[in-house]
Amino acid sequence: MSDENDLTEIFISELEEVADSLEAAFVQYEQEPNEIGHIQSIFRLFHNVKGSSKTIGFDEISELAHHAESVMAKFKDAKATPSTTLMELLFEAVDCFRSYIEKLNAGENETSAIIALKDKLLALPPESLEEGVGAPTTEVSEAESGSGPHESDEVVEENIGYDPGYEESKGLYFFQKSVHQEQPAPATEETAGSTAPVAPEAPAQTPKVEPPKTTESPTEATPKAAATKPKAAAASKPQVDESIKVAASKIDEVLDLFGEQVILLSGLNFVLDQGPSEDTYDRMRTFVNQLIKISQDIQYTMITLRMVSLKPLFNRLGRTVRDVSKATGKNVEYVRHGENSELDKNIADALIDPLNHMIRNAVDHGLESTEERVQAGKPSTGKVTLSAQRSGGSFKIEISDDGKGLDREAILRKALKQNLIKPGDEHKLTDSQVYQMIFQNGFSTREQANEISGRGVGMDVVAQSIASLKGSCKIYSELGKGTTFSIQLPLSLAMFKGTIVEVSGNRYVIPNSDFKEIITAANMTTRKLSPQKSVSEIKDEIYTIVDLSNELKLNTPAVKTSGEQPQSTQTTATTDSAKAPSSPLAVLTQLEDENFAFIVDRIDSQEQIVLKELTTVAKDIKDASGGTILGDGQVSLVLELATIMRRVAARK
Amino acid sequence: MSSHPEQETEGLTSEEETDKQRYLVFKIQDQMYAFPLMNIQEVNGLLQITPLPNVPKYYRGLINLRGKIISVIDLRMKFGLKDIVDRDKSTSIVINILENSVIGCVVDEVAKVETFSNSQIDFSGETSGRQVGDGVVGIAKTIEKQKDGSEVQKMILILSIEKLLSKSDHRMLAQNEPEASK
Repeated sequence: MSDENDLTEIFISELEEVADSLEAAFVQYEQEPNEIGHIQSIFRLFHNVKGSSKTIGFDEISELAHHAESVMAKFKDAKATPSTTLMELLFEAVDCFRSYIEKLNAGENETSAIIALKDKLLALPPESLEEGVGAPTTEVSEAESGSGPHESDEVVEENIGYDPGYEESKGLYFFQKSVHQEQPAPATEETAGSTAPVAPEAPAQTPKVEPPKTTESPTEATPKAAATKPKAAAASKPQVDESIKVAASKIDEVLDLFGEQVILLSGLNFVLDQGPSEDTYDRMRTFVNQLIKISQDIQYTMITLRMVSLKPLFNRLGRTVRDVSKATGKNVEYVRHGENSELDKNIADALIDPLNHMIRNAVDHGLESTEERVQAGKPSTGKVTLSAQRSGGSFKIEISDDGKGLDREAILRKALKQNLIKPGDEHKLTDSQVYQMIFQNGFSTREQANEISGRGVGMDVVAQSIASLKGSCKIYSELGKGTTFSIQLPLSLAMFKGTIVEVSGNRYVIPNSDFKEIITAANMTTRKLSPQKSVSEIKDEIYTIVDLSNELKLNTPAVKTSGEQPQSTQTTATTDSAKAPSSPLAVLTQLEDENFAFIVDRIDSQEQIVLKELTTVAKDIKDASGGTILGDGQVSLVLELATIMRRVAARK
Repeated sequence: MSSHPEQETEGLTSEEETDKQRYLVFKIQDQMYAFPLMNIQEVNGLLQITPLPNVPKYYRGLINLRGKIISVIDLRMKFGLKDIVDRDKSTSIVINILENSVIGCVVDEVAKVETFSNSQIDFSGETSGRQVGDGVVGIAKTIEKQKDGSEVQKMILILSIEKLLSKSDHRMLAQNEPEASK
């Protein structure tokens, strides 16, 4: 059983890859229909799927791939150009693979969609395959319903009979037969007791039988077989474990580092075995320093193991650009930069939906229609650029369009209508504050919603998902020139650089990405605006003061033991700072264009922080995004400054 | 830790009898309480606790349990008893297993592991005036031999950690954020 699961896992990751590559190839092919290489790679990819799915017993997938392959075979030698109808179907095949993967991951084996698509493919009349000939969709649906005219079997014949000199085609023929012999056997055996009468010969498997049945019977016969067969596998393991492809060199790197660590440990042990002498401490110090270094290296390398290339994500978004541009009738050029950069798999996965939504918006809302563009004196083809770039400890993804840009006045009108702002406040808001409003719930400036975007649901979800990844999104826009959404993300969710600060004797971690700078608060003059709010002018800018000791009130006195329990560092720390009274410091940051200065007692150190999840009651603490264990073994909270800032900003 | 309850009772229990269950008995201000031993992961001495901001008083904070961050509540405070600032060495943290995680409970002293059959425990809900919020699910009555040979009946309150951490606590936690501070 476990072997079978392993195989399934491998198959899933393979199919995922193929789906991504197929999609990319399709999009490229549509853009450059004269490039034979694209057709060949599509053909090869379908061929691969056929082979691997057949091996593992996913016959439905194999059959779909097989038919797609045979259809593509026709175009492989560039004798004709596929029609849009056909291309749509092939795109659908990719979607089909994806949804099938999802189902497999959930432990199900749901093949009805695959069979339906295969039938659609089979039912395509031959003349609709090629470009230029009308592709009446009515015929397709007729054939689907089972009462289709005789074309349906001719299609298949035509497919198979096409180019008899072509080896693959012959192979198809045999394949058909072998399916005919193998397939019905388990199907009839296993479904013998079921109520549905299944034709034991499964005549539909060979195309040369009664025409109407070609499309009808397989849908009946095969799902049964599919439903019964993989049940055992599904029951034994409901969820397939997610797997990542890792370069062997990376694993070697980790192993090398581990090896070094072992050598250092035995060296350390040797020093200890020799017993105490004058230089023991120094020699141990050397070893320990090296061990710290190695451990850090291991940690970094381990994190890179989770990194995946953004290429599949870029490809997928290319498909979205294509789909939306087709649906809206816009000509769009999709430019991509930095698709080879790597990002943590969790982050990359979580980015799919928000980015998809944003790129949809860019094409649908951002870009003008072709006529509008020509009128405005712009090139008729719009441009959507997706770029990814690693910069220091963070990652930047930008989606730009050269469309009409955000309309400040339109957003403000809408905001007034929705009571998001008060009348009269319009002119006080900066452009960036206005743009940020589109992230509010229920916000859409489009007068009429369409099926692609414009219902106003989504941008708030986008903002939320980015925030949950500890990222931020900035909008730059120029009316008539275009809009850029710039998303800043951490490289990894689990590790980041943080500053350890002290507040009322307790230590907290502030992620370095969350603040701009730290200055001394000694010479700061504060002004009280209200009992709850005071501000200060720092470097010609107004900052709202956040007294962290007030925000983070400790209700519980520290637990102390009278025994020889090591005294908590937090108590020693307070006495330290009492001895040498250092002036408080201000951590400067901003949230949605409001500046904040967090007052802390002192800075402890800057460290690489390993974020740990908080459980039970602690996870309800909204002021913290998690916890970490400091060098001395004590737990410290990682502050979520944004939550505190929102709370303070809400006070009047 | 002052006692080794595991070894003491290992031989005494016969697990075949299904209505019998072992309990970890501990003391908070002269009153005996018990958790089902089944749900106890381990008992630790008083580890260093990092206090948390804006939480109810009984919520002591977080400890580092071999690299994992664990929440710790103080049963003394939870029961509304007076806080002891200087704890002696018998203070322990009992690590309870919850559905998806664990939680630590600070208790004055862990006494022993004892086996009660269900007939020994009064589950009727008459928990001597205690609130359900205290997490008391039953009372076990035992006879304890004093040093002078006389026998005294003792009551042990059986606690449920899930009941202790009822939803109202979570709500309370959420509400405990400092509003406009005075």
